[in-house]
Amino acid sequence: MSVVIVLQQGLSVLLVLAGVVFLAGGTLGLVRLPDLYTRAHAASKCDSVGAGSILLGLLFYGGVAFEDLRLVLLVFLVLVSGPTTAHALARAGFRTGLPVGRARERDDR
Amino acid sequence: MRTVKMSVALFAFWCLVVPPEVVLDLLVGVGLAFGVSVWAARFLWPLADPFFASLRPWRVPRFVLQTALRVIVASLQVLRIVLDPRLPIGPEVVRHTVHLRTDAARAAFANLITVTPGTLTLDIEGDTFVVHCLDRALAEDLLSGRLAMDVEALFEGERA
Repeated sequence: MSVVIVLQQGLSVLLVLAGVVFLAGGTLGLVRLPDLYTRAHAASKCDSVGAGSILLGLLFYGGVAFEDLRLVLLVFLVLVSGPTTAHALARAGFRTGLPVGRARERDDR
Repeated sequence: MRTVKMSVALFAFWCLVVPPEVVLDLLVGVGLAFGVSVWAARFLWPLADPFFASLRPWRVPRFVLQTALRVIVASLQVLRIVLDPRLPIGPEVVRHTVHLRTDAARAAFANLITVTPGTLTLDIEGDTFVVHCLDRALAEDLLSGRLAMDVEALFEGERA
């Protein structure tokens, strides 16, 4: 019995840790990447995977209960809203003619 | 009939988000579920009625698993790029043409591209998908047609 709990909580901790790594990576990308398009990549994808992973970890932590369905809903919401926002931002940039490429090099001129 | 089905689904959703404790909670839930269903039937469905008609529901679990794997692998690639001190990115816009029969399949394909890290759908011009990629290597699944095959398998009447 206790072995099951150790495995379960271990899995949970691993998932949350992985989520933290992805979130940190996404944030770092937001700071380091040069323009709107590339930043949209970092902000939406890494963050969605990170948040999803953390929520999944929480799902396993306490054993499965009815209340956990709410966490599943949250995972779904995060996974849908992140990429949608990124697409909306990037399309707005594309349609208004924001140049694609290394903005940093352009800034140097 | 669809209005009733949707009311039931919405009411279940309500019970999940707001576990009813007093009778009033239940009454508000029923009222809202019915109201929203009637509103959706009146204004939303006429626009999107046959949208998911060609979806093959039994293919969905496999599709979700495939996509989850792709997303995890690509996330790791993006993470490695971001953590690399040299920041080895080669952002560019690629155009990829795939003929998909239904709007639902096209929407699914565009969203699949966006969900996969490293590629981001900017726009759709007819059958051509305008995609921004963080690096050419990350767009490989898209350009080789593997992504399109996933979507074609999910919908009735597409090529696969």
